[in-house]
Amino acid sequence: MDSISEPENTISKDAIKVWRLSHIIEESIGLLIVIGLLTAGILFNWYQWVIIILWILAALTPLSAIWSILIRPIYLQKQWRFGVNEEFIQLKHGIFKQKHSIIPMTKVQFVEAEQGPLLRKYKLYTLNIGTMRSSHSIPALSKREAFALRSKIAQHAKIKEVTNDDIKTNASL
Amino acid sequence: MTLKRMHPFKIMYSFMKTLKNSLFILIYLFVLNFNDDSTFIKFAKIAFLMFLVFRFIYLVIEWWNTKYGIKDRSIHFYQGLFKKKNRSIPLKQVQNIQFNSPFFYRMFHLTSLSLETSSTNEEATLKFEAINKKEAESIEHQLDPYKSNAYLSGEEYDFQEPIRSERGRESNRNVQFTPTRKDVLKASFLSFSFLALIPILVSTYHEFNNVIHLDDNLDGIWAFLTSSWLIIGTAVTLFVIIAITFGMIRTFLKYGKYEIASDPERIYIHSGLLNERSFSIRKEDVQAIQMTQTFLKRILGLAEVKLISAENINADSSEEISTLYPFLPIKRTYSLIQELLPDFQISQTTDHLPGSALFMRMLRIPWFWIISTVLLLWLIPQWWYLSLILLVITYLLRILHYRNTRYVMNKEFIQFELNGLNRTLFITNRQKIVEAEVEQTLLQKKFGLATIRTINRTKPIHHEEMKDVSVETSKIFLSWYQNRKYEIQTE
Repeated sequence: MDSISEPENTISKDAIKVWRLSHIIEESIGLLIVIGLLTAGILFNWYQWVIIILWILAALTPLSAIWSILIRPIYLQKQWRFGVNEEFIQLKHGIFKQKHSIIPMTKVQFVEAEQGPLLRKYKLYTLNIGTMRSSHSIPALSKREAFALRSKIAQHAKIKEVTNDDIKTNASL
Repeated sequence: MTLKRMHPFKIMYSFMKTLKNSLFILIYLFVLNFNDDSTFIKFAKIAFLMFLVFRFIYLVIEWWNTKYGIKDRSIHFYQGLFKKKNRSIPLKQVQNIQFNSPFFYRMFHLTSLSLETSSTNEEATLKFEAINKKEAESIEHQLDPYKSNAYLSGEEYDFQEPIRSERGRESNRNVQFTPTRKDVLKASFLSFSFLALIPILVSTYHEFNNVIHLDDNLDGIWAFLTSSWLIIGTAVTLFVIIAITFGMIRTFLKYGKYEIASDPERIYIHSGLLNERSFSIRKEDVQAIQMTQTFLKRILGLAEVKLISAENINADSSEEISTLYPFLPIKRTYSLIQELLPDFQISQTTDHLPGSALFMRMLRIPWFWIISTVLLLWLIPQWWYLSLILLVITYLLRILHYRNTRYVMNKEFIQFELNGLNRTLFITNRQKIVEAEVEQTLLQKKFGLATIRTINRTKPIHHEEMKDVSVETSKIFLSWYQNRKYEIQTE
């Protein structure tokens, strides 16, 4: 039995910055909503328990901000690994729960490089890989890497598996 | 290509469905408020009747405009009144075939036919709500290329003269299983296992009664029933007899006439005494096999075998029917799977979980217990001791499950087995696995454990996982999966 090659490629270091930016935006929106609700609640005399819950949420926001803005992006970037060979795509990521998935090339149906405004700032791309039933993405790749990978996967994914059933049909025709 | 319409009965069918869907309005307007002369009710009645008339006209037009035909090895479907729609589905794509003939359909020699395809979009199923049985069969006939080629030779085929090679077909199709009377009796025994609940229900009722006095609300019915043992006895016996008869009749109607047959290409399941149903699935499309035995089935030596296939449309009906037979005698099960699906080789599941898995499992937070305890202490605090019992059961089950969980990777097959109170056995082939996954939480990492997971190409996706195997096993699992590259054939 072959020993498997662990995926070794890493994603761009700038991913940390992108994630930080996007989480700053997310957290501030969340905070604004909580503060807005809290003000409304106090002004219009909502139930006491609603206000208590809102206070708890407001207190939790800084904690979650520290985690998601300062700490999480570093580890997430550090842990992300991917590998692509002729037969398989391997993805490995996660901090508390590490997930290692293997997707056969023959099951890949599409691959696309995608860029949002934040990623554009750092000239990065996210690679989306769609299979028959699910979709996976590799975040934050440099343009060169993303495009090279895209065409590599597209090349390998062109080969389709023959199911027995096709063979039979062809033989009988 | 001659285009054909559905049987006109389709109009009746759809109309009945409309009536059924508006049953509430119907009862409200014409039963509850039958004698109400207020303007609102009057108008509502008229509006509703108008709706029904228009609906009927619409259904007639819809029926008139829906046509189908078979040409160039695809089924063409034309429908739509304002927006014309034309669908064509290559016959090759059809995976499962399902016939459904309720009792009143059978009186008119009708059936409803569903063709399930592997397509991923919503319209994966082609449904002929009401067509002549002969016609449905001839469509089925054309689906398998090697069969239809024999007499079609690629030419277009219309339904004017259903060509039937009944004898040729019979010789191909082998009946593999029909339940004996004893099997059905056992099965019906399972269907009234709920009777065991009666004593529990009665005692629960008593307990509750002490707390919140339900009796007062039930107008003393209960008081009357419990007034003498004779009446209790009669009532309970009567109830039991009714339940047993009902259960037995139901089981016999559903599972009495049952037939599992197969030919080289497909598996055919035929069931039902009054409401006939048949289902056929292409062998290659079976992604995995799942065998389950509940505790009671284990005692009776029965098992349920489910074929997991790409398409499981509307979970309500097909879920059930892709089950081979829910009450297969266990002795017959393995040989039957061998005969039906020689592609799957069930072997002895030999590998155990490592010792550290037990620690891992004991450390997991017992969410179910916590939630039920909170609920219990909140609602009925005087029953606090139940929480302790539940805790003990939870941990005993964990030990039991740990000891009885097994897996094996044998050639191209992977097999997961849990042999606790219930028994489940899952087997699939690495060619049919579209994704393999290994997951590891921090705690699992401490113990050198991981979770392995297979994903089969079905809709919805079928995940099957084995928690807490050793890290080495998870590595073997990944490389085992990668070896699929030597087996698959590529274009």
